Amino acid sequence: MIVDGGGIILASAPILGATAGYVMLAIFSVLWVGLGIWWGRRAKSYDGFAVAGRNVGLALGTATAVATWITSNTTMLAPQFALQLGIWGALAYSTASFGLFAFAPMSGRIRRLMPHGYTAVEFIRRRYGAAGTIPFLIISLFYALIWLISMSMAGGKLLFILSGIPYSVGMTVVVVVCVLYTLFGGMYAVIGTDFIQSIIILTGLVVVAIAVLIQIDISDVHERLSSHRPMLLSIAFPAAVMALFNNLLFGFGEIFHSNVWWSRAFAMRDGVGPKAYALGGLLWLPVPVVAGFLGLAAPALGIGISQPDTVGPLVAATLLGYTGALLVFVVIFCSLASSIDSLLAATSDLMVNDIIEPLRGGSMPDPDKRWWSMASIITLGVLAWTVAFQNIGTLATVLLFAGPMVGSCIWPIVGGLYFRRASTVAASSAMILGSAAGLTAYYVIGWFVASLVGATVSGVVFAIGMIFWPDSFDFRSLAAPPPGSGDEAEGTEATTAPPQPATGS
Amino acid sequence: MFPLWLLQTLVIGALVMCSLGVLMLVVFLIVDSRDQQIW
Repeated sequence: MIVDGGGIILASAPILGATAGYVMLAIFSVLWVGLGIWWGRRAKSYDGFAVAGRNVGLALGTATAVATWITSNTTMLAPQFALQLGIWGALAYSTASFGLFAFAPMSGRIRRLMPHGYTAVEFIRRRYGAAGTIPFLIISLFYALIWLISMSMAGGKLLFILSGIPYSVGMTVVVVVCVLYTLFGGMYAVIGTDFIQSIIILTGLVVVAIAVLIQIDISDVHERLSSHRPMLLSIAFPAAVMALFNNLLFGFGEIFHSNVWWSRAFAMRDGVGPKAYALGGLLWLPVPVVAGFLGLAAPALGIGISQPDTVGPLVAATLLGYTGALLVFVVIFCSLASSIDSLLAATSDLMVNDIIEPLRGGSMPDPDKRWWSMASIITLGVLAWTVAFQNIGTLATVLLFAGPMVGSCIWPIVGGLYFRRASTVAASSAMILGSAAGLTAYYVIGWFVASLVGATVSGVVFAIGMIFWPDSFDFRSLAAPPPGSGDEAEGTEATTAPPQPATGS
Repeated sequence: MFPLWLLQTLVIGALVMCSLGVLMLVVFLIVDSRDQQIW
């Protein structure tokens, strides 16, 4: 930390020593890998490994929704949003929780419609066929890889800022630890560690925020912003209001399409998903506000920030010294791990069930699927490490690039789950044209309208497609296991069950 | 301009919600473990 003559603190040097950083890294690495091995003993079948036996209860279900959605981006970008867009920025980030609320009823329907399902792509394949699957799979993989790489980069960057551990070393340790415990424990390890991580993250945030509030009053922050940066308190801040709607739709798109959330819907016990996702949203809602307050406090505290996306951790570490830095280190490491492990598990499910198995021309036995899952997790880890090692681009730029693409998936997913008329033509053209329009807006106007444009164009195209090229889909067909899976006897029973309610048809 | 009371409500309210969240997760875990419904 450097204090210049003008009273501005330039928080540029690491506050935690490298030795302390390595010790913390070692402790938590051993803990996560140990727990992964311990919980991994439960994963005796592929169902256990991929969807935790489909029997996860409310406590772990709620915690996994919270922990997965609190990424290191939440603790880094929410303060950045607040620093650059003011109170609206923090509120805009909070709207990402609305995606969890909206997904709550959908998770129940997904679980009922596809009791044997594994992935979101599997739903799209059986609902819309190959023409819908190809754009959706491309978007899903692109998004998952971008998220995985940005998390890996965040790991290296944050560990360097907080403790001086070289970027390449920190990033490598984070990726390797997450790969190892996901490899050993599959979804059991991912969801189990998510519970501990969510408790640590929420407690850590509360402690850091209280410690900051002890040192500075909210009225001082308000007064300083009023006199020096009034725009951050402005109610009419056009870019910030646009960011609010954009973030809302980005969140909807991210959650609706991503297999990270679908795999949890399949993993939770029947009836648990809607409650767990709604409560998860409620628990997540205040997190960006707490984290964003750290960003708002920076100008009032006279802390000069050279890299905006590190403002939160730097404010906490600068104000709270060694203890604060330790706490932030743990919170960040948990935020990173809870997202990276989820991405590794959910994306490996996509690779096994939606790429490898179809390419092999039929159902694979459990041991084969388990082997391919492990190979996929390692491949994803190596890929993320290789790209993250280059350390290119800022976090916001890299992640927001995916916004318009996932935004264009909102309507095909919702329509596909609830409307018989939703057709292949409507879904595939909505995804393709929505993505193209959103990406154009991203480059021509800016990131803050990209998801908005993508989702709007996709919605209009999807509606036109349903009107002029309607389908008449039988939702009961989704209850059967995929053709050739070897469970068709059970599936026959499922297809003769009473029809699922299909609203809107 | 956002008034002071709104900023205070947002920050304090968010802190209370996070604290209650931790408590809620622990209670859920206890209830689930009693009913043997964790997994």
